[in-house]
This record gives sequence, C-alpha cells and structure tokens, in this order.
Amino acid sequence: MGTAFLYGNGGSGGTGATLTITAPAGCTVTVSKDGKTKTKTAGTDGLAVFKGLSTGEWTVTITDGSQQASKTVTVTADYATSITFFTATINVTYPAGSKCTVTDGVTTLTAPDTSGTWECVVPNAGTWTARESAKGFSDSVSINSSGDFAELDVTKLWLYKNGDSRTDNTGGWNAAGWTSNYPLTAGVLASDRIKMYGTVGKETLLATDKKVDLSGVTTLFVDFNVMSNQSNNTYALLLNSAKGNYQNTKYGYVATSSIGVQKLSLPINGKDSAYISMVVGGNVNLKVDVFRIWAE
Amino acid sequence: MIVYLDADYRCYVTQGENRVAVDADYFNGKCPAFIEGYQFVPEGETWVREDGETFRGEMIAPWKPWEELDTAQRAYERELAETLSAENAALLSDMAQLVEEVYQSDMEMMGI
Repeated sequence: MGTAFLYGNGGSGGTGATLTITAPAGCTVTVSKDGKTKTKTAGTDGLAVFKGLSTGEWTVTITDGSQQASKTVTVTADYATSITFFTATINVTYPAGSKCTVTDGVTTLTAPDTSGTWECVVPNAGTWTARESAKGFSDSVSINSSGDFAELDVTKLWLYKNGDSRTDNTGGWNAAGWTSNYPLTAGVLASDRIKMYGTVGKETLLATDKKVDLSGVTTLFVDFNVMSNQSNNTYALLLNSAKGNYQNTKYGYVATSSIGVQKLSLPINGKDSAYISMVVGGNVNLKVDVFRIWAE
Repeated sequence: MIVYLDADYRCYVTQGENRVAVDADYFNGKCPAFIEGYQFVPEGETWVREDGETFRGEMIAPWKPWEELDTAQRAYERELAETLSAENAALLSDMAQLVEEVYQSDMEMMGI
C-alpha cells in the first residue's frame, strides 16, 4: 500500500507548478485535468515528478495493474495530499426511491441510483456516515483496514445499536430525572449492550436523556435477550410524555416475561416526540440484555 | 378496571357484540374518552397491523392522537376535582351547622 504526496512549487522560473508524488514503487502514476493526461512510473524511491502543471483541480490516479486508487487535488503554490491502494466495502441499505450519501467528513460518495441497496467502496479508513434524503436518517461505522466489510442501515431511526447510544437522536441513555413508586437504580451501558438486570427491592430503569423526534415513524422496536427470569417479572419498553415518575408519565408500553432472544414492537401514534424508557422489576434472577432499539 | 376489546384490540368502556372483557389496571382512574382511544393486547396474544407488522402482548398504545386523549383526561380530572371540592364544601357547611346547633343546645341547657 503506498502513499502519494503532492508538493506544489510556486514558479520562480519556468511555467506551471511541479508535483512530486510518492506512490508504491513501480506503479503507474497519472495526473489529468481538462482532458490532458500525463503518466509516469514511480521509481524505486516511490517518487513520480510532474512539471509544468497549470493551477486548478487535478485528478491523480495510481495503479499497479490489479488495483487502482484516485484522488482529486487542487494545485496551488504549496500543496500536499496522499493516495493509497485502500478499499473497504460498506453495504448500505436505504429507503428505495430516496438518495443516499456516505461521507467521512472529507470525501463524500453518492449512491448511483435510488434502488435502496448500495455496495459502497470507500477509499480510506475512518468513520463513515450514511444519510438518506427522505427522512434524514443516518448510521455510522468505523472502517479500520483495507479489505474491511461493514453494513449500514438508514431505513431506521436508530436509538441504540450494539454499544452506540446514538446521542444525536437520544441525548444518551441514563436514569437522571426519573423516579418510580419504588426505589430506582439505573441500567448499565456495556460495550456492546445495555444490561437491564434486576436488583432486590428496586426497579431498574434506563431512558433517553432527551425527547426523541418521532415524526415520520410509526413503530418502535427492540431486539433483546431475556437470559433468565423468575416469578413472571417483566421487561418493559415504554413511551413517556415527560420525565419524572415513569408510572405517571407513560402513555404506551410493551412488556414481556418470556425468556429468550426476541423482538418487541410498539405502535407510535399521534405524538411527534417522546422519551423512550425501559424498566425491569426487582428480582435478581431477571437479566435482560438489550442489543438494538430503533423506530421505523 | 374492566375494559372491552374488539377484534383489533381497541378498548371500550361498554360491552358490545364480539367484544371481550379484560382487566387492565393501566386504565384505573381514566375517563371513557381516554380509554376508547387505546389499544390493549393482553399477554400471550398478538395483533397484526394492516401493514403486516406484528405486535405481541402485553402491549398498550394509543391509536388516537395522544394530545386529544390527554386533553380529555385533564378535563375529566378538572371536573372531578371541582365536583369533589363542591361536595367537600357542602359537607363542611353541614358540619359547621351541626356544631352550631349543638352549641346552641348546650347554651340553652346551661341557661345561658
């Protein structure tokens, strides 16, 4: 994997700028602008030097015959950039009929169609965020190495996803500002799940820190595993109109005492925003791992 | 309290054809307009929405706009509070009258 650096030198003698590119030794380096193309082979030191280039936007491409990478750079008096043979694939699912982009804050890629699925090839490591145009839903993933494969789903309003608290949508998950008819303790945010485990004499609660904007969605979902239970204690997912005593502010809920990996759903009707909360009863044998919470 | 469910698990406060009676504590203290804006799927039962989405009980959710139900419930509680307040005032007045009558009777007995 190689890195290409461009150095622009202001012309103190002669016309145009000089670009010095560092790339994998022996690879073909091409610069192009306005239909004009120049090609060189990177030397054993990895350098390819192009002289007499006009200012403006140039596309730099490197290839070794089996892989290719491209980068657009703006030539000014002084400049630098890097190009590597790096590819990773993100499978993006987005609402059919809408547009979708993926960006790392520097490079933005656009889905080629509105089909709803896109095998997006990204050129570098980093955090890549997909966003769709219909409702503005987004989802992010970290790409670390060339060859990585990941999946993003922007058909959902994510509220919690395998360790990601989605603070952009929720403000985070905690128990601050909540009470109950019983003593209350907070659920635990682990690296890849929320642990809603029962405690003797207390209810366990965790909730969004802010009201979630529910415009455009009709159903709330949760993926979870009730690992153990006793005496029909329940795990409940609730919609609350306000913080405070969750028993008084809840206006909808779904609950179960069944054991096992499962998914629950709750209709969202006629309210544009709400706090989302979860509660388990006070039995130490009730242990619930929550993996994903979202709305569609 | 007892509510009655139709085939779509919508709640009613009165019995009717093909309605099933269930006990739902969530609706204790709630007015009819509030209750009848809700769906209740008991534990062990499943409701399939017209778009195919499945909802497993126990589930309680409004099917009418929440603001409408909340407004109705608040009006009901206000009216209830006013009624109770008026009854309370009447009881206090009656008690005060009783106390006055007893006092006057005692005064007469003592020749005062």
